[in-house]
Amino acid sequence: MNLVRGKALIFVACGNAAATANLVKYRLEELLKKEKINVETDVMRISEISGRIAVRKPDILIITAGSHSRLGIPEDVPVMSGLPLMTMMGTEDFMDQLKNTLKARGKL
Amino acid sequence: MRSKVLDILTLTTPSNLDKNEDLLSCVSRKLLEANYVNDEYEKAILKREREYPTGLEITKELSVAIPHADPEYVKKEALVVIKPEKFIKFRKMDDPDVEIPVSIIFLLLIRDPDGYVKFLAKLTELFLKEGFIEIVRSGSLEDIKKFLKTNLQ
Repeated sequence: MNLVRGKALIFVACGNAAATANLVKYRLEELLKKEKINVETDVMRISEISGRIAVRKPDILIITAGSHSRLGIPEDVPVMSGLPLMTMMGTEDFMDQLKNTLKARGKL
Repeated sequence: MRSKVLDILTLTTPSNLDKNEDLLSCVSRKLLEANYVNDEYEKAILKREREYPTGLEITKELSVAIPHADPEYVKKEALVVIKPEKFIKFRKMDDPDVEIPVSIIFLLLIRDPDGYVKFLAKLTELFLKEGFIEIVRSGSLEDIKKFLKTNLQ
């Protein structure tokens, strides 16, 4: 195919951009590799989200903590819970939803 | 990717604790005494758990928690395993309004999150592994440590 698409950008955020977000990013990249989907991922603290989005808008934002989901996040940025990638339960549904979102945004 | 392995440290806590704050304070003081963390760690881990809780419901019978604070408070890295005598209430990572009874705590003392990603992946995969629930329920702290060592190397 000769279609040139922009590479999707996915942000992964957790409380302190340490253990959980790195684990979620790693698992996400492994799953995407299996499906031969190439994306750019970036890890950050939840408190950094709005500042980072102001500079560069991601196609998807994955958050591993619950209650802070939409705080300071623009309406048009889809937010997903990273929990399935923490516990490895429900990863298929997670990947389906992620792929559908990427498709809808013309990144897949 | 680097793939480092954490030393496993087991800790016991007094049997009268049931709130995660009390448990985390007690554990922080022990870790400070053993020089694993600095004196700001206790405050940091309590704040972190309050703002971003780490309880994970694995099955209806088993919930775990993986508390961790920023790397700057950690002096020596380890996976600290605590199996309290009774359930400790933690709030859920994905639903902080909900409290779950946690039967085992894996406290992560990490300075280099990137280096331990594979280790953490293995650890969280263990939660679903056959035998894990059983060993948490009826094994001693030593049994659990042995199980972790065998499966995490």
